[in-house]
Amino acid sequence: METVFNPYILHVGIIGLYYAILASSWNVVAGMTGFATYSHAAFASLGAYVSALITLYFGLPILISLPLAFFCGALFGGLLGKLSLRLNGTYLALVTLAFSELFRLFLTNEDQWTRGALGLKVPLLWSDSENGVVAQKIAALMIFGVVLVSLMIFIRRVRRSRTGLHLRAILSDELAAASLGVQTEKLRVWVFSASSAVASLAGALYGHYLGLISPEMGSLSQMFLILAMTILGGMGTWLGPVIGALGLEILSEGLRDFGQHHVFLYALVVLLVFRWRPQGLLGGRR
Amino acid sequence: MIRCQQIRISFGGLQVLKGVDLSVQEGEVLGLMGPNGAGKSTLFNVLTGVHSPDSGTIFLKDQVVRLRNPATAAALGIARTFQTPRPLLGLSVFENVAVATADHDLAIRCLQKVGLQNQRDRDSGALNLMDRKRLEVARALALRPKALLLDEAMAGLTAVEMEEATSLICSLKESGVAVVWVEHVMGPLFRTCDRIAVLDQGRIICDGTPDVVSKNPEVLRVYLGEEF
Amino acid sequence: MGFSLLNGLVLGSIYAVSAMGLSLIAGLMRLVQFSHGEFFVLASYCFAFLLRSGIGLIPSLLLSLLVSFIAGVLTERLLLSRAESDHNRSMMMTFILSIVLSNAFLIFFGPYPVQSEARIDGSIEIFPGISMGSQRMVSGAIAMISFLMFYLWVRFTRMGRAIRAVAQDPEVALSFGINPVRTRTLAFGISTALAGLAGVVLSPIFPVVPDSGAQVTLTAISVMVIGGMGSIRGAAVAGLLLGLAESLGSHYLSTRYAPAFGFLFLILTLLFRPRGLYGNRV
Repeated sequence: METVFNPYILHVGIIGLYYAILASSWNVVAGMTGFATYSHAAFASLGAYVSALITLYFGLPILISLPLAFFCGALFGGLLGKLSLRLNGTYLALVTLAFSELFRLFLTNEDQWTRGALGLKVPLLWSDSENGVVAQKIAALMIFGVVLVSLMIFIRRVRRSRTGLHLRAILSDELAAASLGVQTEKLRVWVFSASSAVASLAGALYGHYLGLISPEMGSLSQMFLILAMTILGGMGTWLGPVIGALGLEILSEGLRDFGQHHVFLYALVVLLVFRWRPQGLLGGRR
Repeated sequence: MIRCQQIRISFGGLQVLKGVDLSVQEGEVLGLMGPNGAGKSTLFNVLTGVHSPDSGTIFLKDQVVRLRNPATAAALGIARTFQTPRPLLGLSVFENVAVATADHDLAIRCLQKVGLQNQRDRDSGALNLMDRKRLEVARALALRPKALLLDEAMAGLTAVEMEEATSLICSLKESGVAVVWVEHVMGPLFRTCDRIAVLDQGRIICDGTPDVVSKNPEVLRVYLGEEF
Repeated sequence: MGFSLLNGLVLGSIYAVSAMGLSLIAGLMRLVQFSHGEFFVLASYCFAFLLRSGIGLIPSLLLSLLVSFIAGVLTERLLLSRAESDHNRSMMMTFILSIVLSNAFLIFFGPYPVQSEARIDGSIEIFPGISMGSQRMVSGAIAMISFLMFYLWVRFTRMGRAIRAVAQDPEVALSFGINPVRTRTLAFGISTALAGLAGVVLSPIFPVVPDSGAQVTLTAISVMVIGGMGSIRGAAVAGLLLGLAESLGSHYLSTRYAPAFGFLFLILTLLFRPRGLYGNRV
């Protein structure tokens, strides 16, 4: 009983759930609708910083800052979607990439508010340490768990709905879908907005769990992780990203013994799988 | 039913359509032909919302319409097929049609009309060319269109398949849809259409019954060497 | 101000060189080669290492370029040739590769920056009152010469024309006896070798660490897109523009936001003129 509830394992579990949320939400826009954006990690950091700044400088409670972070993600995600309507494939990837790097530069440079690369200390979900570390971690695990489960249920519902059919149509052939009456532009903006909102919420929660955030949260390396987890689990599948996230997180922890080499080995595994089984674990033949 | 007036459009300095007037009535099949580069595809794209004309107006049931994008055109009742069929891969035959309409029964009827009802659960990617073309029509019909634009329906078909396709197009007349049929293969066009318009270098050079068109000297000049 | 201009030109020509290989591949394979910067880093480290082992300047340079070339060929053969038509997938592949390589460099070369012994000390006074480090001048000059040579090579040699032919129409090229598959592999190797050249030239001026690859790639991508994918001339003009903008911007506005110029221009280009300055209509 004690071994399961040890803080380290709980911590790994929480991180796994965090990435599962990010990977699943990215999968909706990239794998299920066909728009591979590279700005998802940036939205996680957006949420984290928005929530952090609101609680730190305006003294508002986390219960208020979280929805605000979600809303910010939705707003800017929608804006980005609208701006990039005419861009596809490589160009879309590049423009989302450029925006996310610009944002990271902004976070690093405006250090009078964000403390830049030093990192920003963030109010924790629970300030009183009386509850004990384990209890806090279990609570955090449950919160992330609830968010993930709600997200997965929502995705499943959407997939089975008419909207889901339209998204699959867009994934297959955007022009043909449009000529059949699918509101491709509106749907695109909605999907961008929704997935970015979820990423921002996850980022905000993560920040308040860790207690410390930095611009690194929205870096390309983080985006790589999200991408890798989604691909390995199976891009476009429902459960794939979750499996990929949890699996890779466990793999990553298992490789920690190799010290410096562990990121290299991890990335190498991803490369090999992507080369020889690009549909991932759960993906069917294309 | 659908009418366009003085459509002009140019791309990168090249004037592709130089003031095109065209109209089609309900239940009428208008053939649109012309040599390569005449502007048929461009006109097609303008009428289906892919491109916005530089000037000119489009009327649907005598109302001015602005076709911002293909989805708008579809919503207004302008349906189209693609020259090379574009089935929504990963979706079944039925699902392809269901994208266009939430009405389950309508979707089934459209599939029945083209003869695909027995393949409704098949993956659309597994269909052969003729069936893919059928699917194109079924999908378009599911939009309950006022106007249906066919893009080179005969492309890639055998003689037998062309007969089948032609009779399918004929049967569309009964439903009251206005059909615009862009085509290179002239035999079926002349046999089926109520009227034919000939486009050359961005202008309509002749617009009338197949009989009139086949005798028009300018049409013959443009198609010198072709046999009907 | 004068220094900023001059510095901008030097910086710009180095940017142009680092982007031209990338642009070549983008035009040929419609691929944004995300691991481009890693070959830059690879050659920098190799060059420094070879110099220290005493085999001389030119041999070290040539060997470093060869290493980058071979690494590129291997990459293309092993990883990219299958996913050729799927551009998104290829770009992701190179993205993943960049992470693999930068971590490999971290292990292999350690976290220390490149210790280049080819450093030229001292400065030259160009105009009254404006002097610049000699190393910078030399690097800039080499960059400009390399650029010119590459441009002429693409334009006038058989290989260069073969690459352009395959870029335009592989089937027609085939009918002329050009092998598209082999051409692509060779072109890829050349593009990585060019990245390596930029690395060798630049490492005495700016510190190169195992992580530098991503930054180099991003700058090269910006230059490439702004100039127009596939256009060597575009890489030159865009490189110079960006170099000048960054240099002047750092001088008059803020040094911390220097990298922002590249991203900003990239975004503007993508939103308003995706084909860039000299690219083909998208």
